[in-house]
Amino acid sequence: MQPGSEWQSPASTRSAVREAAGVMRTPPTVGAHRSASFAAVHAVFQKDWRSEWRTRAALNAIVLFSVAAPIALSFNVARQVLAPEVLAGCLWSVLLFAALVGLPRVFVREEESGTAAQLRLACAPEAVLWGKAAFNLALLCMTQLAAVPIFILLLNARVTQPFVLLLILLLGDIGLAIAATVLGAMAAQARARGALFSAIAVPVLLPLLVASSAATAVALGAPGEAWPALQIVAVYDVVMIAAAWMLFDFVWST
Amino acid sequence: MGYVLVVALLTWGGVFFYMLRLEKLARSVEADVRRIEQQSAVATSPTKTDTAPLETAPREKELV
Amino acid sequence: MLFNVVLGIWITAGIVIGFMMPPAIGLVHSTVMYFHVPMAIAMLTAFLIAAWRGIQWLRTRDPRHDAASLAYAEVGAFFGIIATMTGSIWAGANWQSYWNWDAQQIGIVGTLLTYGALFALRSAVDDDDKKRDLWAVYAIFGVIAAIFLTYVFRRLVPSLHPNDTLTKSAPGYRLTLWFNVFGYIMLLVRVAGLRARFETARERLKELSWAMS
Repeated sequence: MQPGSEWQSPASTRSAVREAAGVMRTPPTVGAHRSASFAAVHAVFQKDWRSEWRTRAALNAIVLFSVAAPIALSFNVARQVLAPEVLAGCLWSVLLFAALVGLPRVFVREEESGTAAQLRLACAPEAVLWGKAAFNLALLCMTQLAAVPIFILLLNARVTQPFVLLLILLLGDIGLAIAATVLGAMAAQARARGALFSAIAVPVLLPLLVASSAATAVALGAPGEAWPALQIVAVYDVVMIAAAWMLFDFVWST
Repeated sequence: MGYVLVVALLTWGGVFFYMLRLEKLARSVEADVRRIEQQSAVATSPTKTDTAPLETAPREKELV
Repeated sequence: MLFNVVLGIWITAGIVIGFMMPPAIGLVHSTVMYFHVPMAIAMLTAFLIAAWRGIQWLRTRDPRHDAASLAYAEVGAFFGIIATMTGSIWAGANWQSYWNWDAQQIGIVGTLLTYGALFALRSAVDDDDKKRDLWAVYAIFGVIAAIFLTYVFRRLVPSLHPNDTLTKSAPGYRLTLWFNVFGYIMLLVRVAGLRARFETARERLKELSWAMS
């Protein structure tokens, strides 16, 4: 497909030297014993859970943000009654920014404390992916248990379809968690980790946000059906999970 | 409508000929790279000593 | 060479025929549709090809695939900017409002944001192979997001886009449109191919200077 390109298939010189010197991508034989079982996933989850619980840094960041943002919003809104669509958009903006603050830490901490190499050796990439995604999901659910009621109270939102609200929060959290896990792993290996994570996460999460806001708007009283938006979020989740499953290895292995 | 058509065609003409210039440039760059490659291949080609097997110890000595 | 000739004649013909088509009912300056829509379609095609070449890089680790992926993403982003600008100006002429956040506008802005982030990601990583791996993975996520944004949200958000008016009101519209679309996709392939060749040559020169130093 390359008109005029006459290179023979060159292994780039640098890669050739690296291969010769034995510096390779994590070779398959080393990882053969690495487990990807449920126990491994659970172990990764437990590790993150416990170390997070010791410092509670990410938890505090997310909770504080999730509480402060609705307070700031309700001050600025000054007792006006907002339309459900606006409330839904504000809620998901708050949840998004809280996630951007708190979720990448799960990988940044590994890189900064130097434990990333051990993790690569000890566990198969799938275990790392699902363990950390489960941790992110737990973090999101826990913080939203507090944040969403506070938001509803402060901004005088009327929940007309609570089941839809719960469902969209759950589906949205799944999407947020899995995307944040893969993208967090990517950003942690670059410079300017936090800022880069926000930059690369927002575009990928945009479909999720728009659809979740639409469904939440209906749950907060907007006319219409929530089902089309819920479908879109569900499809997004499935596609993201599949893509993460297939691609995480390329992101994680050096 | 007529003017816009002329402007559009002129713009497209400009883009097209610029693209042809770029292609000429690409060809010359590739020719340059190939020339440098061949030069460096000659400069770094293996000589006789490179391909001889490494000697680990002189043959005369023997372990006692 | 032949490709260049065919390309030149094809697009010139497309432009001329576009101007000769009867105007659409109720819409002003509908000729620009034969440019705006093909640009947008070419942008999406470019991103699909970029993601595909990214997959090929992950599978074969041949840097030419990565160079092609970069080239298609760049040219695609450029086409996308042109499509947004022409669309906005046309909307201003027709409905007196340059931006409305209708479904397609959300879609194209989201897509352009995604590709901006893709370039930011590439420039933030120093190691060559890692840079290419992360680019390929994010290009795949990006095209998924782009597809959601472009095609899925029409079901949710009401759209100004005259999605059916033109096809029904102007006879021969569809043929002219697809003729132009094919022409601009050929242009995309041509320009991205050139960009990829430059990129490959540049990488090769970098390696040669590294190997010789």
